[in-house]
Amino acid sequence: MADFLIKDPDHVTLHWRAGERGLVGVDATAVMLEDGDFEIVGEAVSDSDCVNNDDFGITLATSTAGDDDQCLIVPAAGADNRSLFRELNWGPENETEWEAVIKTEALANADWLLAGLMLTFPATYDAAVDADQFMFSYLQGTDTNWQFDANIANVDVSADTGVAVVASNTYHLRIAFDKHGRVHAYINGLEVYVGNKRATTGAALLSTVGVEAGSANESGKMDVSRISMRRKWDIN
Amino acid sequence: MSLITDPHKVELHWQAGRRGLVGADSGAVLLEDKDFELSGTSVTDADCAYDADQGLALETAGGATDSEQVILLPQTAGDNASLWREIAWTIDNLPCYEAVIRTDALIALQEIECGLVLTMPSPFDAATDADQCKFTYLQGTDTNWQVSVSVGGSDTSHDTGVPVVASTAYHFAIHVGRDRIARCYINGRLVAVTAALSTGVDLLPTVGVQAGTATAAAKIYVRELAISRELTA
Repeated sequence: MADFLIKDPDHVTLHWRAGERGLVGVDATAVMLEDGDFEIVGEAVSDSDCVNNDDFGITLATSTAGDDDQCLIVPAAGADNRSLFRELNWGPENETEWEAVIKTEALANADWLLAGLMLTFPATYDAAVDADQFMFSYLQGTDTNWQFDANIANVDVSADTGVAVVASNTYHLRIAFDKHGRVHAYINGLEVYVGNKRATTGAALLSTVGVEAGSANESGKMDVSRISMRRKWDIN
Repeated sequence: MSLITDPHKVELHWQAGRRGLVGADSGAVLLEDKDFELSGTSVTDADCAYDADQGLALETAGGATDSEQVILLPQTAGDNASLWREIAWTIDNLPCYEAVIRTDALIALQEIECGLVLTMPSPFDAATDADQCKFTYLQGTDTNWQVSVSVGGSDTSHDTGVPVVASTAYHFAIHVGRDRIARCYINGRLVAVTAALSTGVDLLPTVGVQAGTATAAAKIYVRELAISRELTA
């Protein structure tokens, strides 16, 4: 049997290392020196909200302009850089898989930590805005554990994963859709949620990782190391 | 376990679209792919586009002349310098070439070519390059993928027996052995074994499509390319 260079021609797999190709910036500036796959978005966000972290990758830190300041990394929009994280269709029907490695910092009052697959990103975070989404979420002061917010055609479910959110802890988050379109969610290799019905075919889900501050008095922070995605090619 | 698992080999992988669209040489190069560029008759930047489910679409312009082409070739050194060209893919160094592409509709007289070549002539032909090994298909003439081989100007063609079907994905592989014989695979199956290729010849990886008439554009999708060779001592 030949040893092929392309091991998996039926899938496309993307790996992204935070900081490897520059900091993640806001859309408008210095695009040549910034990461080409992702950009930062959200309330009161600026380039200075993303910095290198010499032990992990990058740190996202909200500004302290007002309540609900955000710093979220989403795939670069098509106007400048073109990213396969956006240009490919990551709908559940493609058996899409998404993973991220993040690290919490101090858990500041009323901060949101957010990671997963969404359609849009509202300011402020509201699990009910997107008709379809699959997000790990944590609201400091309300949640003890990671929650998994699974919306399918406006039917919203929020499940307590049982996995505690602890300051300065690393989490490997994974979302995978099986061949029946059901979502499976994992934290550090442990399956924490299984959907009971097919997710919406054609939902244009986008990778989203970030933080939303709870008050103007402090900056919400999250460290990001890696994001990976995989899907089946449309074979025919 | 070593981080560098095979220190005697160089291996490159290219995901279509990962570093931007592939452009013709002259335009907006900073936002375009740095490893490959478009070439061919009547080609423009607009001939390469994202497709959300199939990869990068290469589509000939249509409407200008017969035999319009869209060809991916490694960047020439004038602007970007690409290992896909700067490394010599010499036949003696056990080059392996692979590509995953998908056909679209099969348009009258269109041609598809994928493999290792010296040049990509306009229009495509099997006789221009003295040395090459490539998969080819000419609509209206071929039913199956052909393997077109030139060794020192002597040209042969092998029928692989694998039909070319519209809207179908194909994984092509050309693996050259120590004996300079190329073993050619489609979707993991060995479909052709060539005569020994010429010694000392540097080939270039390519994928291209050519329209048959001016009235109908021809399209293929490219998903992934890979190439490797043995490093010399």
